[in-house]
Amino acid sequence: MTVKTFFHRLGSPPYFYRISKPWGRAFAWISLILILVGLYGGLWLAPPDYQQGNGFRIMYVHVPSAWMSLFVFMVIAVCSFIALVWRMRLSYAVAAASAPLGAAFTAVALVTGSLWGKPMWGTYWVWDARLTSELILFFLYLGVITLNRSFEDQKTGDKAAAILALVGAIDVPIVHYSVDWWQTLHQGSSFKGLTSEIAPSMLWPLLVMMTGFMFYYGWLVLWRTRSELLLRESDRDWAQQEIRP
Amino acid sequence: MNPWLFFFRTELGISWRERRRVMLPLVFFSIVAFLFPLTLNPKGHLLARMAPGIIWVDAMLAVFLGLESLFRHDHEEGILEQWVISPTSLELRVLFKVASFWTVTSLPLLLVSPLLVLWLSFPLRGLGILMVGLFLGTVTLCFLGALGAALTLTLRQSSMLIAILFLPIATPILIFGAHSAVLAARQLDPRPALYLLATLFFLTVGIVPKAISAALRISYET
Repeated sequence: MTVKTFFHRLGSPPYFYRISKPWGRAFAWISLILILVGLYGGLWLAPPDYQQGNGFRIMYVHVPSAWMSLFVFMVIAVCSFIALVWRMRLSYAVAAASAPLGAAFTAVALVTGSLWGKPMWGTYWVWDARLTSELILFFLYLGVITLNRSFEDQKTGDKAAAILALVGAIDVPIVHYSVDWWQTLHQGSSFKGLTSEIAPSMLWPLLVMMTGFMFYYGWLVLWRTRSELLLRESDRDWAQQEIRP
Repeated sequence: MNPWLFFFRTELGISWRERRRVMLPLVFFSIVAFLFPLTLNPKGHLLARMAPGIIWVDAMLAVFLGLESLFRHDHEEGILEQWVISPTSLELRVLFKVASFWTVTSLPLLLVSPLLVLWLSFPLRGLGILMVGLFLGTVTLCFLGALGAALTLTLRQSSMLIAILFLPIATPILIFGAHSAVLAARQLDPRPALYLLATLFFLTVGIVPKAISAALRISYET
């Protein structure tokens, strides 16, 4: 099966509903194993940092979450584009399923970042470029979620949220750049998480955790998309058959 | 007369009939600025340092105030539907509509800004730069806000939602705008901030009317 026919078949919600179940199961197991291995490597095997002691270990949750928060927004923007241009129903469902996950990753990144900041920088919050743009990203997620849920007609909400996500995707780099510019205007950045290159013994658990988070997101987004599809297509025959025991 | 100019003039005329819409942002803008000296220490130094931030946040809130009613009337009267189905460019119509919205709600803010500069003891030498920045910034804010208004067109009580959509997207404009004023007040070169503001201005005026049109079309598709 070529990529093109696969893409065309994905346009059919029942087909996606059928194949997403084994894929989701596989992703769940892979993410569970990777996250356990990554946690073991990060919390036990990796040596304490010479400056931060054991405090740096929160990095193994913080960095993957922050990374996923940007990645998920990119997924939403790409899905929104596909949905608006080719009117693919599945794309809307994936975007709608992703938004709360992305918001959760952003919230985790912000909270763990604050907890990490208190012992290391002496404060929970600084108006640093990354922190500020992450916070604005969180507000953008909330906007996309709220807009999607605000309309009586789900199709209208999907399209409105898609337009907002595309504008937001253009806006996120601009926000990051502007905050960076504003910060350097005031004072040199006195805070850098890890100035030196990360040692291999600390790096591999981080990479394993990041891959694990990717699969975790993949699992959840498949599961949530399945429910979104059932909700959206509840008047169709295939959905009726799936719901009936 | 050019039909687009005629459209622009008609929109201005309609807004002028409802003078409340012109006065409201202006009065709001002045009152908010007047509250700061009362709640902070009015002895010049602190106030002068905060003045650019106060004026810019104030201007953004004043723009936000008018957004909910921007397309509402045209939507309820069915005029918007005629725009959507008309063969002429919806994007251009949106461009002139927002331009007229800016003329009615934000141009008065620019004209009254010298008064705020005096109240907040902002150095007078920065006034010119402040006004240039406010011009570029308020136009950009009007377009971004119009996108929020267009996305929430058919919803009741949409102003809360517009705030969630509009305020995060507007932050770069506030940053560059307020800092051009800060630089001017310190007698530093404000051009870097103004150029970045101008970049956002052209980017927004070029792209956002397209997004607003797409958002308006959603409401009439079934």
